[in-house]
Amino acid sequence: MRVLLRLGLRDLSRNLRFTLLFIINLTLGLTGFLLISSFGASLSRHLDTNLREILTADLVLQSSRPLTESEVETYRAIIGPASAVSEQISFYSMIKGEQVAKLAQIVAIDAAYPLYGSFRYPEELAHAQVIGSLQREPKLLMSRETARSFELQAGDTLKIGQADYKAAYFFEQDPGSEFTSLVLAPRIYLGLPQLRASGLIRFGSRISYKHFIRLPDTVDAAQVLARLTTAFSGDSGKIPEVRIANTVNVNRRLGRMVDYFSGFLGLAGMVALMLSGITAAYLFREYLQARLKETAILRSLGASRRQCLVLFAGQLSLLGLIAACMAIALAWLLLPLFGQLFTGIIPPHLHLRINPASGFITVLVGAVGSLLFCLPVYLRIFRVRPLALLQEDLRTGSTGWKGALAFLSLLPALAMLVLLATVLSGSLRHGAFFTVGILAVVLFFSLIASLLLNGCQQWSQTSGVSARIVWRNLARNRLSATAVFAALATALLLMHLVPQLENGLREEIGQPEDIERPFLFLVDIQEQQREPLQAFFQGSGPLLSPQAPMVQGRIVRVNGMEFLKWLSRLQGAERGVFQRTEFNFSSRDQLDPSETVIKGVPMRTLPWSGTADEPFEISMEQQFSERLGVSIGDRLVVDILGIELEGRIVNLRKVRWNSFQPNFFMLVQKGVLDAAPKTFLASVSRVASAEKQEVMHRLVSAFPNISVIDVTRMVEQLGDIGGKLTNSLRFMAWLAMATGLVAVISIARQEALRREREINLLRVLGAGINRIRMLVMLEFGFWGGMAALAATLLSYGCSYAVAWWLFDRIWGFQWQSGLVLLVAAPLLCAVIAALAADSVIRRKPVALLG
Amino acid sequence: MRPEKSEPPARGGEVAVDRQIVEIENLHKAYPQPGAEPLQVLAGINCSLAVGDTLAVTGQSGSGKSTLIALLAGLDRPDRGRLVVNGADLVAMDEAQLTRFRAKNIGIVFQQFHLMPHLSAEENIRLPLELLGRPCRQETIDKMLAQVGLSARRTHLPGHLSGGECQRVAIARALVVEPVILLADEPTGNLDVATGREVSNLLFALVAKVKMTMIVVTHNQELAERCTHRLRLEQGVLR
Repeated sequence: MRVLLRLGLRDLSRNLRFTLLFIINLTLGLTGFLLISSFGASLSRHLDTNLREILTADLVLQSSRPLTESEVETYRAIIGPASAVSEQISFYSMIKGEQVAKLAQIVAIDAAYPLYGSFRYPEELAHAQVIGSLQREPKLLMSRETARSFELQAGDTLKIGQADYKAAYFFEQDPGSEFTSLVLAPRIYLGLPQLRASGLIRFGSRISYKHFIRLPDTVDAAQVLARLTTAFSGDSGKIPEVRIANTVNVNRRLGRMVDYFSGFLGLAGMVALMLSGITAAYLFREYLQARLKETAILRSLGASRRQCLVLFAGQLSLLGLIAACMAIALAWLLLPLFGQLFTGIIPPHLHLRINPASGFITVLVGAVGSLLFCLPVYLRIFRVRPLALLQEDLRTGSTGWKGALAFLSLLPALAMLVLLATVLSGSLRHGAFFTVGILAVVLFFSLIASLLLNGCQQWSQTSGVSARIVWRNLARNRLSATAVFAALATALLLMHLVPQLENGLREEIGQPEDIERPFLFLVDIQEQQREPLQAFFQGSGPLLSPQAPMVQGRIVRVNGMEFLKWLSRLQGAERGVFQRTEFNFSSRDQLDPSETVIKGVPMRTLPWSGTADEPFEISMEQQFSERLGVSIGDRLVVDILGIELEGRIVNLRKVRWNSFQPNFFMLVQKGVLDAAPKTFLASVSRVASAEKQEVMHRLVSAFPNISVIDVTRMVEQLGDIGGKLTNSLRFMAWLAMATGLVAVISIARQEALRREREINLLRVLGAGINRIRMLVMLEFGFWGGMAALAATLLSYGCSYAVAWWLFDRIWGFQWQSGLVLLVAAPLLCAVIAALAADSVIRRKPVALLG
Repeated sequence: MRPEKSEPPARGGEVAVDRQIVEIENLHKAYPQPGAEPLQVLAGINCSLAVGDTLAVTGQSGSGKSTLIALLAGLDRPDRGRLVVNGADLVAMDEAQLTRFRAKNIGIVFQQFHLMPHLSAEENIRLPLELLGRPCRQETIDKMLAQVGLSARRTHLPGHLSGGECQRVAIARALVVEPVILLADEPTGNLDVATGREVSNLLFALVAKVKMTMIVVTHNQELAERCTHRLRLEQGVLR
């Protein structure tokens, strides 16, 4: 064993370029994997350990109306007398300070709140004192930042609805709020008994009534949840009015928030790892090819086949282990930076650290994975026969059953890829999709290469000697040229895939430039306030958009089938999307600039008669229609305030939600909502920054019930988060591209070195250095260019498919990166090949012939 | 061909005293050819060698000389016939047994030297012993280096040695395990006349010193004439 160790180490140290390239390449891929999986694990661990604190209870009963006495009795009987209960009422409203008017979330709490977690106060305050005072007096509790935004000092008065409240207490952090900084409006707490005085609880206000429950430690929360769910399931066929949430629901909800971007990061990490795998297998193939003779010598000297296998397996494992250790060190250094990229999005106290399980997988992938990736190449050792030393023919073919064995040997590597992709994406479906996709891509590129090589064969009939040599070189080494093309094109495709998706996501995060951005968003406009509001903005600078009516209604039946039954037919992820049947409906004279009909016909402008047998027309948002499993022509029966009406979908719309215009999933034909009591939404644009506060202040004075959302602030907030996410996307894209660059360099260089004998022959036959250099550059430039062309074209299709499947079709065409790839790849291949060839040309001819 | 009946020196593999070291009977070997009849390379070879015999096998290129060496070394298998080396039937052995047998009993010297390029002369010589797991005393290696006249070049890599020096390292490497038979495939084929003569002198001196059986495949008439036995391979049979 010692002799094998010495041989292995000696060999690696004498092939330093291979050793370093192999380690750097694998380190980059493993670092990406480790960063993503550790980040995901840290976040998930944090969520798991803080779920009750985030929910502030074991279970929450939630409704848009107060619970009846019998409902309260029912749930109290189920949870038992030993459980603690806390009630809460919350809603959004405009709050008017001395100088400032803003939207705030008003949260009325009782003395028992919170059941888990706590408010963090400055040192002098005690929670019991604060919460007691809030119940007794019209006082408010808010954060220092909220007070500052309302320009409030301690003791100042704040008007909420019709009542004045004193800003009395300030917290540093409230329970359950640490997960995200993205909030519609700051929270202001008051005592539950003090809420009625505000007069804000009335029709049109959307209010959430919550009953938080803390169960004794001895009680099984799952059982209680099941009993509560049964008790509040309501009439069969209808979705219950009282919803019950537990920590699992919170986990799912919060998990969705990070799934979107961790999905992209996971994909980028997987791309980096895949590129590493391809490059590792390629480098090892070349390394092993050069070692075949030595293996045969060892076998002739009495080394067993097992010893030869152990020698190379040991080398691979050693290199993989070194790469894994370096990846762990690099990830350890980069993880804090990774955390900084997400500052403001992830919990501030989230402790990012290398996940031991991910570290273990990294070491395992490094030590065993590199062997699996290289298995098809590695198995060539089985075919090395010392007899070849007498024949001077060390080639190892792969025909017949041996070819089939080589293909079978790919399976462990593919299984590992599926496993890793599943770990990163959290879904076996995605993992399998990624792996199968890569396999299909490699096969496709092999086919393209084969067609091109046929072309090379034809073109080699030319009379020009340079062109003839180039085409013949390619056509002659058919197998090798196909492998190089497939590896190069796959690496380039993966490199190009990531910026494509990044571009789409960045476009989604950013604001549309062709739509006038509103500064203020007005919610809960009452019917009788429409004209006064119109008059309010008449003649002044700010521009009020058309006021969009909004009515809540229930979907009762779809195509004659009960809605719940219809939903139960849906498969996979779509199932369970809707936990309610209530949706908002609106109608418009004409579509907003932020929406476009993409399928079907525009709705009629004539109002629906309401008496005819003809159903009214519905325009549905495209993605919503997919989630609902309906399409054009489908019929929906809608219950609006007790009246059932039938509508038919006539078109599907694409909505640019980030335009911040008042948009709806479902628009109905004019006249349908006329008789229904409704509220209106509108936006206000063209407000100078200096006037904004003044406009808001006047608005709140004139229309105290209307909620005014400062969109500029939200856009800034979203822009900030978007910027941070973009940075993290770029970070992973760079990592993937760095790995891709190592792949391209390795492949081009090795291929050029493989031509050593041919280059020597040309030189001996009298070809000048410049001519040889030109031939090499032409050959590799052409092959690299063709690979780049195929990769670029396919990457547009692939990135669209991935965006369609994983990222809700968020995709933006980006020609710049394609152009860069088309120019850079052939140049890079040609230059690297020329440099590698130069090192051969510079050697003494006698050594070259020896 | 009768072997000399003298006590052989201690060897890596146990020598079958009073018996023939190599027994070849009716040995056949053919290679398949795409779209044609198999190429019959050896067509019923018979031969036997005793301890200390040296045999030169000559013949035209493609006459099957290297195939015979390959079969004797256990690097390839005959289609039929009997092949016994030092009392062991090579035809009956599996791959692993052949490897072990080769390591202990057979030394091979190639035309192209086939040294490990990243190991020094000394390390190349030491390698077979290490692969066998045998004790590898420094004085043994020093002695081998001295015998092949490379004591001063012990730390040199093959790339820094001349062709003659490389072949001397290869001879030392073949002999260090003290095999019962040495197979040499064109040992001077890659060397100039003077160097070739030096190498063949060395080879015969070392073989004579330990009374080892040697089979040399060669085109070199001078080398062939130094062997105790000479056979020519023609149309697949020894003449």
